[in-house]
Amino acid sequence: MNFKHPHPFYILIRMVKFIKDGILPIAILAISALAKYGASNKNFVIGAAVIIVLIGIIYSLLQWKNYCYSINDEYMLVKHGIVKKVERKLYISRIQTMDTSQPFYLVPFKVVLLQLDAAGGSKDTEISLHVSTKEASNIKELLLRDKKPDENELEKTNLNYKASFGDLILMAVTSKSIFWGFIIVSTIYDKINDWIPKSMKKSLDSAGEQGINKVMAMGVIKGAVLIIAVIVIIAMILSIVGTIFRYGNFTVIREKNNFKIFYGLLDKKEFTIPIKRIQSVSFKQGLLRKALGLVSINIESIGYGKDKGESTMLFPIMQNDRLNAFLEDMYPEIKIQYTLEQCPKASVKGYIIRMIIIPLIIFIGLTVLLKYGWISLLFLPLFIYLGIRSHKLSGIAITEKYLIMKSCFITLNTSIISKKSVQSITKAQNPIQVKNHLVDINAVIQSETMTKSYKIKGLSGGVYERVMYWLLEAENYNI
Amino acid sequence: MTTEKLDKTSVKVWTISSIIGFIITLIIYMAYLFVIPYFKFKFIGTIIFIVILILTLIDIVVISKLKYKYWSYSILEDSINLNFGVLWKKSVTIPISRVQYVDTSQGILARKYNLMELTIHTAGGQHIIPSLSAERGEEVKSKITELIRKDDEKVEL
Repeated sequence: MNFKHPHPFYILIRMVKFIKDGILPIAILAISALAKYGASNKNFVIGAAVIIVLIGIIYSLLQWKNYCYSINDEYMLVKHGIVKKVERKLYISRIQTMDTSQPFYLVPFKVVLLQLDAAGGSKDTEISLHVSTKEASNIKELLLRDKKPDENELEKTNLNYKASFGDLILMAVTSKSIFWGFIIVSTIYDKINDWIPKSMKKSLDSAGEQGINKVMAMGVIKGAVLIIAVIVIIAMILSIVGTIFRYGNFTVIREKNNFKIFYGLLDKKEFTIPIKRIQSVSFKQGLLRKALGLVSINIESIGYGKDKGESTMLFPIMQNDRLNAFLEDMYPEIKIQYTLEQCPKASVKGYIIRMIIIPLIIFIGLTVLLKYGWISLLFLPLFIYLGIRSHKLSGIAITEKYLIMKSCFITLNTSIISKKSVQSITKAQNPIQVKNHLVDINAVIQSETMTKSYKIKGLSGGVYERVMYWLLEAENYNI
Repeated sequence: MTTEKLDKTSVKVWTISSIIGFIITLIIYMAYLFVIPYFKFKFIGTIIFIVILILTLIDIVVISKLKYKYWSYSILEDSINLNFGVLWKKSVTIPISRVQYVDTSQGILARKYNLMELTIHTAGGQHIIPSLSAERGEEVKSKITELIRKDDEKVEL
């Protein structure tokens, strides 16, 4: 068998890791050595540092040298380890996902991190390799050899959707991170007085004085509005820049059996997601996005739980009226008709209570603690409205192959869950719900680390039995 | 539907473990009283402890019995169903085809009373049937294993 080593850049990565992992014990060692021999003995300290760095280099070199991989018709073999030799065989038929990612520091070296994952089994990535861009595509080609022919036929008809610049700006402006940006900017604004050196502050103050005078002239309220406006604009710009760097060039390609997704200007990411591994598709709409008719599409697939969900984005943002065409082109499997069964009237109380309970506690606290705190109680109707809204939007539907669960707290989340991915369903009832024949339904899907589930509260009593029969009937149907 | 109950001894075991919990809380409370001069909110601390103690007492006297009363399970050809909850009721349906494997475990107390806990693993998490008699536990385990095997055969056909 013909073995290859990872890209030499791997040595550097190992070294950085060696230093990162070792920094604490080394520091402790250094401090104790200094305490013993005194700081005067400089040669000793320098000598020790050189030795440590040398060990790091040799260790990293050995790790690289012992790390090798090889591919044959049946499987990919990876060997690594210096003292404890590890051999891992990953059968090609078992490979489920092949991802490459390229953090910004790898871009100039044309190195990518290739990650191969098999279904089920351990939670970690089965194989991860640093290889050159060219080698990565070579490996992919080798591993996909068998599947190649039928993909070739479709090569020309492959459809793709790209997120435009405008889409990304829209995404940034309507995203929740704007809120965090707002908080961060205003905290920085607060703290900046302590950080800036005095001399600089003076000149800044005199420059700002005129501005402040103008603000003061406008009166306190206008001034406050102006400051808030400035903060909002800065937060927005930060959010836009962040979004563009993170999701710039977002492209999704539909192949016959896969989705290919890539994005990122600095950290380049690329994902291949087999259609049959997709468990559910979610359409998410926050309050603002709902009002503007925007929707973001996420997919939940097996083996993608560890990347904090960002890898599961199928398309960052889209106008509602484009959605049908998008699904038609990209994902006709889930373009289905259904009639939503909404929550019965009896559950509206529960929805309102769940929505107002925390604000109510805060408002009562404010009323007790502050002189004009009772004003906050005027916001209560808003939360009651949100409760009614969330009751109105929630619901469930069953089709032959999919379970559709539409739930809403603030963000409306419509999930289309494939029946084969539902692992179990749970019915939960609190004492009031028992009396009113209402149920909370919880559908658990496959996940690698934490339990991932979809929940709808306050559905009518018979829903659980219907979902249960649907789930079990599906089994018989398959046979 | 053949609905089955847990083992009757479970009431006893749950009560005993609640009593142990009660004693531990009491000990912590004593320790708290001992260091109380160093705390600012003595009053709130005492109230919290009293609430906890009352809750554990209720647990000892009633909850164990009710928990037993409302716990039931059934193992059918195509699914496993669990029903439990005293005030907050819960029902779970697990299709046999989603069960990956089953294992059993025994705590110190359970071993003394010959009880067993059965854990059903799916790809999405696990579900527990507590307090089966050791014999019954093994029986249920092999029954489920048999059902899984049958189900696998069906799929292959």
